[in-house]
Amino acid sequence: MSLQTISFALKNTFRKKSIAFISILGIGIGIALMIVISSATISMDKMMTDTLASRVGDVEVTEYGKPPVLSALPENITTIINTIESKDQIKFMSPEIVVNGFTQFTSAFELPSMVNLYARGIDLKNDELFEGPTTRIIDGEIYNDTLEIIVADLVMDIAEKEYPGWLKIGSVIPFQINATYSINLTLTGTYETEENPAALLVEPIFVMSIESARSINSLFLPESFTGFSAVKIRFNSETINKTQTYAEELKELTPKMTVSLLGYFGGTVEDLLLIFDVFSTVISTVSGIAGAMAILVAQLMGVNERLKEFAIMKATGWKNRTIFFEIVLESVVFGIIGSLIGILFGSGLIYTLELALGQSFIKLTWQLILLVLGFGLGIGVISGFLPGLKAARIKPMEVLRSS
Amino acid sequence: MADYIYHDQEIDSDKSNDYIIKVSGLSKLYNEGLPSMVKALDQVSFGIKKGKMITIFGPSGSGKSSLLNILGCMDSATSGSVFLEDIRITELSERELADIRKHMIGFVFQEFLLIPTLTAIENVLLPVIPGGIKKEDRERAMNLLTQVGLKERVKHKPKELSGGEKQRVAIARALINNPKIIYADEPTGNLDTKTGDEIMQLLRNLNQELGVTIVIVSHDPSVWDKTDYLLKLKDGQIDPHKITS
Ligand SMILES: Nc1ncnc2c1ncn2[C@@H]1O[C@H](COP(=O)(O)OP(=O)(O)OP(=O)(O)O)[C@@H](O)[C@H]1O
Ligand SMILES: [Mg+2]
Repeated sequence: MSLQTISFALKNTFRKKSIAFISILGIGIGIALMIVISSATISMDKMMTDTLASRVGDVEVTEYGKPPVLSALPENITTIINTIESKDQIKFMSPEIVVNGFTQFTSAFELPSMVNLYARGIDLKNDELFEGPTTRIIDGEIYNDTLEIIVADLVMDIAEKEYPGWLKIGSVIPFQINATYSINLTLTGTYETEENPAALLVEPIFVMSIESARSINSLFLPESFTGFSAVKIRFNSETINKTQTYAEELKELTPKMTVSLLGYFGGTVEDLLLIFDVFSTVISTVSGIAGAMAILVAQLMGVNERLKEFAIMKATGWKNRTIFFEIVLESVVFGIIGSLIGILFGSGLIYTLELALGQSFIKLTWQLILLVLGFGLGIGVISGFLPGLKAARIKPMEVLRSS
Repeated sequence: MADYIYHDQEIDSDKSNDYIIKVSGLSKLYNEGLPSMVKALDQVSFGIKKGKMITIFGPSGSGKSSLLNILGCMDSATSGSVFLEDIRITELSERELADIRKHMIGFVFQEFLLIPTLTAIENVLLPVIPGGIKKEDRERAMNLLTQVGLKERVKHKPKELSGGEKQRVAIARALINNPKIIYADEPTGNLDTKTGDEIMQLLRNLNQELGVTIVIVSHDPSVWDKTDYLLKLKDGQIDPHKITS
């Protein structure tokens, strides 16, 4: 096969400009859709699995049937937990205190809806084991006195956007206990939220010491609620199923506890991802078939109009396979140009979505671009096959005789 | 008036290699075994001498195109044999026939059959495309276009050329691989008399300058006088009766 065969195919691809344009546009639109949906699916999938992967062995226990803010666990909770059969599999634990009441932030600025709006009192040593927020200070320093807090950089960013200059290191935040009484907390530092937004589902956005949390809670909660609210436990486990079996053991303990797996977002998120996956597969398949049909029809029409050209090509010694290759090549050019246009449209669409949503969670990856180009090539080969055979198999003398 | 070709014992026993084509007992049946069977060629035997120009003529349906297709390696015979030089083409595979067409045969058709997306020179180079066009090919195509009088039309697309010019391009294309023999089925059929005469003159010049054998099928009596020999077909057989003119 020579270079000229390829350039010959290129010259012939665009001889029917309007038909070529329409079928390429059709493929482009289908592929653009496919790109947006696949990108979204891939990004979400990756976000979720990245977040989950580091937490596959993590569980959190709270008082049975209570949300974390209302959960009260006994002081000796870690001793109780250490009575389970698989206690050797516990790597470390962090008993924590949840403080509710940062609701003023909800009205003040628009936080992503999935963010937990409560603060956590966390022991520094334990947090280090879990590589939690205090290990990721990017500005200022860790709290060391009571009534000092650190916040997620995300909160800082949003605050800066809405009330420039209001929230900074050293700022005093009035923490509303009730309608008339508030307590002043000093901001000592900010910590980096994990790069991906999914982590916000499991991370607090305000963190303080155990003592601070306990003294704040004692101001407005009955005494029974001033102990630990939750215990994070990291098991020596590589799969969510194994973690699940340890979780079952925890459920047998007294007092009865609610056990949540932190490395598993539960059915809804997984279902959502599955729906996305199915949706993107359906869209890809449909746009693939539609694209292939567009090329097939255009090429069959083209081949029919060009029978005499193939006759003269064969008469002058072109081999069947060269003619076949030439038609398939033309179809591949359609497929690939359609894909390129689809990538262009798709990127534009992703960009527009980012602008509209104000946040980029969809990423167009190189792998996806290559995949799409491969997809275009596949469409071209498949749809070029039939017209290629038709052109290659003509009998020159029959074609010429019928004229 | 040109001589008629008859079957001649001399052809079969030709030892001096004077003949480029030797046909013996050639028959062609279409739709064999069906009620619609047609006997297009019936035991045809003749020879064509190297470097000559011959015209095949005869009434419509007499088997002219059928004969040309078999001689041109585009169709298979039902029985009989055809030699092109010392190659027995009647027993070659389709792939081998394609190779013979490429290297030994050139075709010219009534309808020119140029590729509309290619320029004149690219059309001349069409047979060379699959193997890759080399510098020599380009030079050769240029020379051929000059030889057929289209030096100034090299870059023109077919739609920018007149009928006669298109046929000249087609003739140059038939010559690009330096064939031994050219088959031309009604080469002047789509041209007016004057242009047709010019094309015949061109073929004659090429025949003399390049020594290429040329076989023409034509209804047109004005073509007949311009070739060395005539072969008249009637009902699939060579007609022994000379026309009176
Ligand atoms: N592919 C085919 N299938 C069936 N019959 C055919 C086929 N090709 C030719 N024939 C028949 O064979 C006979 C000879 O046809 P051919 O085309 O060789 O004649 P011709 O001399 O070239 O005629 P014309 O001057 O009209 O071109 C005719 O009766 C024709 O109908
Ligand atoms: Mg004919």
